[in-house]
Amino acid sequence: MPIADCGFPPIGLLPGINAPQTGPTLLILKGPTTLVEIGFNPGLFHPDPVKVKEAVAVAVAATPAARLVEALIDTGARDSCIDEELAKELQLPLIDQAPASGIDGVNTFNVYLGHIRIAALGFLQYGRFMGVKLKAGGQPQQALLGRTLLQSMILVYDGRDGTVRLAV
Amino acid sequence: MTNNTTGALAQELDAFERRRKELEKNYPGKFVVFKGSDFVGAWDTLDAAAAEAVRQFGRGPYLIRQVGALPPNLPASVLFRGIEAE
Repeated sequence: MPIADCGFPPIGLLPGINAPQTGPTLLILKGPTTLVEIGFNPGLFHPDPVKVKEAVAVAVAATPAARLVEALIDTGARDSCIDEELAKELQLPLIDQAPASGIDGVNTFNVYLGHIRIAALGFLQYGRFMGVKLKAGGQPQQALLGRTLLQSMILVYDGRDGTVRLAV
Repeated sequence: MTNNTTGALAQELDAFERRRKELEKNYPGKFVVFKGSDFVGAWDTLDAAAAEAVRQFGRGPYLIRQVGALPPNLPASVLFRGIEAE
């Protein structure tokens, strides 16, 4: 069973904090984090289900992309989200806009088509993702992995030693 | 939502709003696609609607929305964040 370590070592550093922190403290400060690839693969949105299956198999087996970003495992989120700046940078297809309250009042949030792949698990979620202001809001991660992604996974969170394990 | 939308999907959102009642009557629960002010079609699933939209228009932009669905759910983790004192 593929397992992704999403916690922290017994002692580690966080950007912006000079003193080393313990694993449990790092877990409190940053939250369970894993590396993901985010992008848009037209093959995943093909009218022929057989072609989609092939595209999924290729995407899952692919060598991790050159660029991986950190994602927060967010059990408080229903849907997975992508940082708005990153979505724009990656030129993900814009497919909807919706008003919602954000960190700086009521805003229009973009909805994008794309995929999130958890590198350590080879697990792929594709579909629509809300663009949210993570980087602009000071969040260290560039994606949120919500409960729709976690529904097929096992998550073990041990706050006592700062370890978190995610398995498919 | 108002009809006075701006931005990359302004035309599509205006077209959706203009036809909202008709869409809710004829395509409840379906995923509809708009490109510009044109109604492209309605599909049972997001995957099917997206497949057609990508096939016809590539990276878009285009509107794909489920008729009658609630707006996307924003995670609590991005709703509020502490503000550092000046």
